[in-house]
Amino acid sequence: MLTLSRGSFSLSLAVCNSAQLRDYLVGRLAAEIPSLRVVPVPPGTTDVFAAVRERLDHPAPGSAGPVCIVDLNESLPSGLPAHPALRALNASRELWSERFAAPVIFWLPEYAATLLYQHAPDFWRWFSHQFEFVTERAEPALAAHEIFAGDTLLAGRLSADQKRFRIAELEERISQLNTDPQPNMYGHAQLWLNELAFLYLFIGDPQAAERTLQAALAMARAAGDRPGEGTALGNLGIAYKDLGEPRKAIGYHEQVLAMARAAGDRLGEGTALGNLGIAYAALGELRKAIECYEQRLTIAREVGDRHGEGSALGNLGVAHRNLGEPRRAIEYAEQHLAIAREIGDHRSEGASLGNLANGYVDLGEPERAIEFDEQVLAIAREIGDRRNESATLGNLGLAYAALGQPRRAIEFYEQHLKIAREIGDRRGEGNALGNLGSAHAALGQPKRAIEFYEQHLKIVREIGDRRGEGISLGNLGSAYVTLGQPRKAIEYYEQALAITREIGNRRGEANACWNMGVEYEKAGDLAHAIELMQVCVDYERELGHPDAEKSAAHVAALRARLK
Amino acid sequence: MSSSLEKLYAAFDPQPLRADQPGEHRYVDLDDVRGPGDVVPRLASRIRLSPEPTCQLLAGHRGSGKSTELRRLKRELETGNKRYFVVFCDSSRDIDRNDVDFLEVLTAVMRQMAAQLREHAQISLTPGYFRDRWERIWNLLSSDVSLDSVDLEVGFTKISTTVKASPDARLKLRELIEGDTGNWLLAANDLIGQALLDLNKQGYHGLVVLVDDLDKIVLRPHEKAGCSTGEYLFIHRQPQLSAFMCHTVYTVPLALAYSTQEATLSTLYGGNVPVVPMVKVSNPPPQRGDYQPGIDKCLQIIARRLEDSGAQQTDLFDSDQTRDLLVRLSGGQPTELMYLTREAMITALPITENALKRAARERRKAYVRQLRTEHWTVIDEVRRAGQFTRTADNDQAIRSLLDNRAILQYVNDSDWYGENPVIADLSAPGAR
Repeated sequence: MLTLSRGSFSLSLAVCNSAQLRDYLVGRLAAEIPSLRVVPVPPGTTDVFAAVRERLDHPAPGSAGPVCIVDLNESLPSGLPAHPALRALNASRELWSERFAAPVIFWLPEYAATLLYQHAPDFWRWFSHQFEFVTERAEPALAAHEIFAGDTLLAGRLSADQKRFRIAELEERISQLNTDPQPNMYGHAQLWLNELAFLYLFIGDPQAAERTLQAALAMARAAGDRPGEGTALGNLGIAYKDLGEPRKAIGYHEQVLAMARAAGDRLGEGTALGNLGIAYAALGELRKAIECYEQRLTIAREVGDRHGEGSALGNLGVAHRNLGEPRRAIEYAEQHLAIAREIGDHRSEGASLGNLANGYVDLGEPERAIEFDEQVLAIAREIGDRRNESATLGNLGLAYAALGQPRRAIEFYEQHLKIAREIGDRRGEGNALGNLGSAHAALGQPKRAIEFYEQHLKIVREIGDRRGEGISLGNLGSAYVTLGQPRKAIEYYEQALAITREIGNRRGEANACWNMGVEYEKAGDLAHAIELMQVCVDYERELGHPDAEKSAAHVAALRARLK
Repeated sequence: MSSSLEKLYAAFDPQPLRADQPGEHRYVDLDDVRGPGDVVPRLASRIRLSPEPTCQLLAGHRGSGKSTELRRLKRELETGNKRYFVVFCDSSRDIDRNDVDFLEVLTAVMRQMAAQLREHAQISLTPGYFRDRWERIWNLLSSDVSLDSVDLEVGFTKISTTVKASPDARLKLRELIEGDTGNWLLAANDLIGQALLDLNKQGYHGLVVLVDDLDKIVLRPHEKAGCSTGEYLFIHRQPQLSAFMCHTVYTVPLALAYSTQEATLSTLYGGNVPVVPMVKVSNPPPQRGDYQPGIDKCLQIIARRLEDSGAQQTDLFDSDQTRDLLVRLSGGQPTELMYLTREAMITALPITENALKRAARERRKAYVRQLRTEHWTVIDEVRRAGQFTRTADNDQAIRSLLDNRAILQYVNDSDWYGENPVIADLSAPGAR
């Protein structure tokens, strides 16, 4: 884009939350375009245009290279009702095109971009390009709390080989039971079946997991064991959510909810609502998810279930983070943390610290995120939770990527990959490969990125994770964009879109539509671009996401150009 | 004469009678003089009737014959058409009674279960998920224990030794396990499930663990929990104690079973806590005086022991009066009967009234040192009425009186209490 528009004015916005990553990217640009100039806006500036002109005119005026304007956010303290700098900017928009015959790029963190949109709408409309360098953090496995009966720390810690042995042992025990069922074995059988299903899911054999859970369900029904029935149904729900089929998951959790309500079991009702919320969140139905979590919170407080209260708060935090409200997400995570520490629940403590880390990445403070992630890592190692340990190494990688240190990030992803393979965690292995792909994409190595993405795709297809498949296809699309193969990119985006629609993942659908829209826009097919991007706008508006109006403004600009 | 003394001394062993050992013929059924205790049938039928694991308590004064009753329960469950595999867990081997927590109970249960399954059912348990937990604690304790070929018994013996050897290591271990007990129980239940699967194949109907001697823990305020050590173990730790997926019976201090926590205990452990009461050798006030059927049973106990030693009554007692005094002084506690006899026979044989009184005075000294004003209020009431009134602040006093057997509990037509006969002629300092 910069090379294309050399010599003529264009106004661009680059959204990047991490100052380090921004400096890294700007440095890369400067290496490629020697005429590029970087202008920091001094803190407290009101007239941005004058400040920039002043800097560019000295010592010598007249260079026609592109201009990167950084640090404007230093003059935009968040939380103030009015921003004189932005008002001035809005009024000065004509001056920019008169003065500069070169691309001008404003680098801003996300919150400042939102302020700019709100307080300088006229200036905003002039942006012809928008780059998002907000690193999408992989949803950590521990963010949402579900209770899969059978998900024991112990089973998760076994090495990949030991897991196979354990599976064989449990299969053997269960086959012995079936030949001669004794009433005193019932409780043990339920435990074994649920653990077996968990292990099957872990090593990526969802069909076997489903079969096993159906057996547990049938056994519980035959014994008239309603709580056991609820456990099996709830686990089936979690399994289907893991398989990326949240609609089926919702069906199961609703059965559990109805059973718990009929039995007047408030604790069970709370758990079911929590799981239902997580399934709705996986569908991208965040408002419905929040409703469920809030009901869960009320019930937990009513019955004095501290663990449930913490988990509801934690999930509310995750939902608000996905709604683009990192500060609220952090508040909830802090409440969750306080409860986890109070009741001495190390696993929840780790989960809430992980969510805090996520919140700070979103706020553009990856250093703080790293501090929290390191605490999570220490806890995971202390309690011997290897799955969480490896997921946290992955998150540390993401935080270093946000700091603009992709090589450091790769080191962490490789550790993540190593442990995931050791413990036979197929989902974790897939995530690590996907992240390695993204890191290589950030290093400007789209071919390597594609190699990793293809390995990721292979795994998610093997373990039947439809949601993961959608994400992987979307990543491949973006990599082909970088390779300069928009047709191939669109093909992948189309596949990603089909999957997200099929499984009802509205968030994924909106992302795929937007990315595809960007390609059609570049190709000049504005009508098609508008149609696609509108899907994203509608979704974001429905949620009240802060990005909604920014996206809407972009679509409006395209409409104007079409006329 | 000296060989006769040795035989008599051996015959009056206060150790509990073991149903599976020689000397069982010394057992005297005391049920009808203890009142409607029928402790063994009650415990046994709850186990037999429930396909789900049960967790029950058994209370009784020290020396009332609790261990003997538990051994009867074992034999009862091992016979009949529904045969159980019974692990008799003598917890005193693994537990420091001054300081007990769930870790020690778990250690004792798993270690002895593994040993008895191996010995009597040829079932060998692997460490399973415990291996992982052990590795973790040894790593965290920076111990260089090699775990390459550790089996279940060896692993738990190692924990038991560590816990007993140093209070520091004990605290550290407990801290590590706190918050992780769920995983330890899961590991235990996984092995119990495997054992049950194998036991079923051998025709057993289930697995029962009897944990003896837990009633002997020292009752005192718990450093952290803000309650007594007994309440801590049996009430705060109840979720863990009752989480084994097999039938369990724990002995519990009588003082706890009869404290203000009585209702809590019966709620937590599914019903009133059965109590092995004292043999009633005297009538409650206001009637007082000997209760002949009870005295007769105690005489029968003495007669069986004499038979066992091959001696005559005249070898042991100088007169019937001395013998009857012994029974009265025992307060109906079989173990006390043995202790007093042994104590008295050390001086000379046959035992004279004076020797017996001297022995009783020795026992009494211990009480003189312990009893405080608040205790005497309760004792006086028990002397007068055979009952005591609970007030807001005498719970601790009643608990310690029951615990050290200064007052004894009898269950006949109704519950009543009597003072221990050895303190009968004592009174509160300055009261006379």
